[in-house]
Amino acid sequence: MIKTCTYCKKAFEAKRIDKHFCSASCRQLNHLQRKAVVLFGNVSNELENVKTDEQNVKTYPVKIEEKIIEKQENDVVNEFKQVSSKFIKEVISLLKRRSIEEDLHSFIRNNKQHFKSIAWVNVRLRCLIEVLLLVSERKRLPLIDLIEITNAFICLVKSEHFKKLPTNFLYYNIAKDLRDKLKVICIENEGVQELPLKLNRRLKIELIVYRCELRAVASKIKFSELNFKINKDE
Amino acid sequence: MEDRNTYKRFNVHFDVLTDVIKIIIDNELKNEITGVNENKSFIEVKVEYQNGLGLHLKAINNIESVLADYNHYRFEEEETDWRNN
Repeated sequence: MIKTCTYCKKAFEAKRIDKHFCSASCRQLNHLQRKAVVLFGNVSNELENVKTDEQNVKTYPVKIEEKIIEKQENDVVNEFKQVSSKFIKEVISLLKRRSIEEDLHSFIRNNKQHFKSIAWVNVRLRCLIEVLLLVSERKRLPLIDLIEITNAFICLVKSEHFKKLPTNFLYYNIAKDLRDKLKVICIENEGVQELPLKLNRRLKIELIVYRCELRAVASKIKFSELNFKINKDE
Repeated sequence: MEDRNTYKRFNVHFDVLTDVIKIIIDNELKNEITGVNENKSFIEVKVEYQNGLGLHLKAINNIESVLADYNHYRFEEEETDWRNN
């Protein structure tokens, strides 16, 4: 069989499978070189690799141990840090800043003559705000759905009940603003099939807060069960 | 040694996604996004944690409390169809 001499790298005819050198001199020279490596640290690439591996074998477990100890020390030093959501903080902060739950109740108490109108508007406004929050989380909304929601806002603001409300009604301007914004979106997107209705962070937080406030004074009724059209019987 | 790793799945709304990711990264929790719901704006995250490790348990509690707080303010109940919500 043909093998390559480990020392001179020349091909030679080997009679045994375990023969590594083409001649006795090559074997001797290889022996001397290995000895020289040990004495002078003049390593060949092959031996360098072996030595590196040996070093790795010796040091690797030590490194893991060190890492574990380091991590344990860090665990002690770096205690768990509770993360609070900035979004929720902003919702709570706005709720506290407005703090109008009591105002809402007193507004109803002080406007008993308009109680029916206030209740009628509150229920519908609560529902519409929930609807807006819900559809804003969809990837896309059919324009026809947005028009239906906008029409509901238009009907609400045009209703006799809304007109009867005192102008200091807490959601008077909010309802009108939302109606106007939605109208603009519908007009701007005329002809499209679907559109994404995304609320900016500020508006979303405000809507969540209004909805939370309205929870206290208005019951939850489904959009499909509510009549937004002006109805003289109501 | 007994393998005490376990996992929980969370539906994380986009509004609190950065907060939950911060908890996961800070506490070196293994995680995997297993689903995305584009019509409800949330992703489903599978979080792996070591049951006996206090740090991991606190992190999981932290994620749960963030999500519970968010759900309290944002949702009242399961809403799917806006006409019937």
